[in-house]
Amino acid sequence: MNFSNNFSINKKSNSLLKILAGLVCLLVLIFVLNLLNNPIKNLFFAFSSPMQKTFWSAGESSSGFLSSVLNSVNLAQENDRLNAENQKLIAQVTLLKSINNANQAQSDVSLACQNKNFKLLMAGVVGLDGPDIISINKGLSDGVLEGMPVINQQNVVFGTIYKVYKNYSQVMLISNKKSIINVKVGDINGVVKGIGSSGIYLDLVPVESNLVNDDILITSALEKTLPPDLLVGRITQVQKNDQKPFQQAKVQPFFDLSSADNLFVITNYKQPK
Amino acid sequence: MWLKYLSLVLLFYFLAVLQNSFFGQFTLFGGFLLPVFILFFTVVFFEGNKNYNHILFYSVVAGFFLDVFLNLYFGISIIGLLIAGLIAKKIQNSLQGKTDKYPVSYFIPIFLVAFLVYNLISSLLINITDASRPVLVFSWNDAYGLFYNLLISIIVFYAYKRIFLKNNG
Repeated sequence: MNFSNNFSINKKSNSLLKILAGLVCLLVLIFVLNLLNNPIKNLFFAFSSPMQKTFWSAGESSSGFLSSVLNSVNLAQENDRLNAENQKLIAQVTLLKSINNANQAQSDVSLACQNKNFKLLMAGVVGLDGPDIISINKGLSDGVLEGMPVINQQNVVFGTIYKVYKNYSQVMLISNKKSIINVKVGDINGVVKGIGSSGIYLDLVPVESNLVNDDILITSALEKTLPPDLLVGRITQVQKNDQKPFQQAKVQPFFDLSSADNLFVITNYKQPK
Repeated sequence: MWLKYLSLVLLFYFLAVLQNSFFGQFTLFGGFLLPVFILFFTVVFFEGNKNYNHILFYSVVAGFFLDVFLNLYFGISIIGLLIAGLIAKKIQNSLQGKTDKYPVSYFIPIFLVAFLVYNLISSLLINITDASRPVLVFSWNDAYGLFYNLLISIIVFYAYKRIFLKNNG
């Protein structure tokens, strides 16, 4: 009886020891992995990057095809909507043509300022690296540093460099929940906050300001990390409540991951003092 | 036997690459597919009831590949998967089927519990390691993600059962 009790206690303490040993080994392993975090991740990136890039492109074309098949059901409705919109646009074009001449000179100056002296480094998108974080195939060895702005060829802002490894970097999209950028709509200033899953919204706009749907948001000169006048998104729904000091608006971002094969890192942007 | 483990290591790696590239573009109303978790859970579910060491091995391998491709510390996915796997196995052990050891009626609820536990633990660890991250909030995107992953996991469940359990008699 006594022997069997001892045996069972020994067995229990043995299994407890095994669990403890396993736990310690696991924690040591995790500690070592974190010590070698950057070289391990860089090695795996260098090894997986070509495959990841191929799958990313394959996913792009497949998802595009799939969505076009799914959307074909609504084609007739979409056609009617586009026809109506087209007529509306023709009317607007006529009106805008008269204003255009006056604005042309000013636009040219703005465009010139927008593109002045930016050194752009082209980088390929290789995959998603977490919630609203993408990875690009340029890193420290290419001169990429944390905080550098990332745009596409249409001057649409994607985000900023979040973390840099030797051969690749991670870009935090403006839709990331940690992202807050200063923007303006005409003369109205506000901030765009990320809500995850490629979603953003406009906030901190004084309630007396007049926002309307389809207003275009661009980065403001108040923004520290991004150059001014980069395209951010379009207002889809204004949410105004007179009891609150600020109004908000839902925003459709201009950046589109499904068509983002190549992006540009602005490597020499410094905020004017 | 070693071939099984080698194949699983390669498969986990391959799925981690796919998860962060190809499947990243196939969201269901904002919900992402997590093929690594689906394979991990399926393998754990069909593993022998006393094989807790194997769960540790699968968690380390699958978690390592998940952490490699994330902008986070190593260990977050490993610990999340380990706890989710152990809880799933405990629940499964307490529900012993008489005729079928691995019925789909056990698979679905245990998958849901393991998925929620994994996401909860990962989110908590992320919040602990990075205080600037937003506090855990369950959104509709997560609900769609849960449904999306469950749907695919049921297909994987039947495929695994058909291929491996039939081969083993």
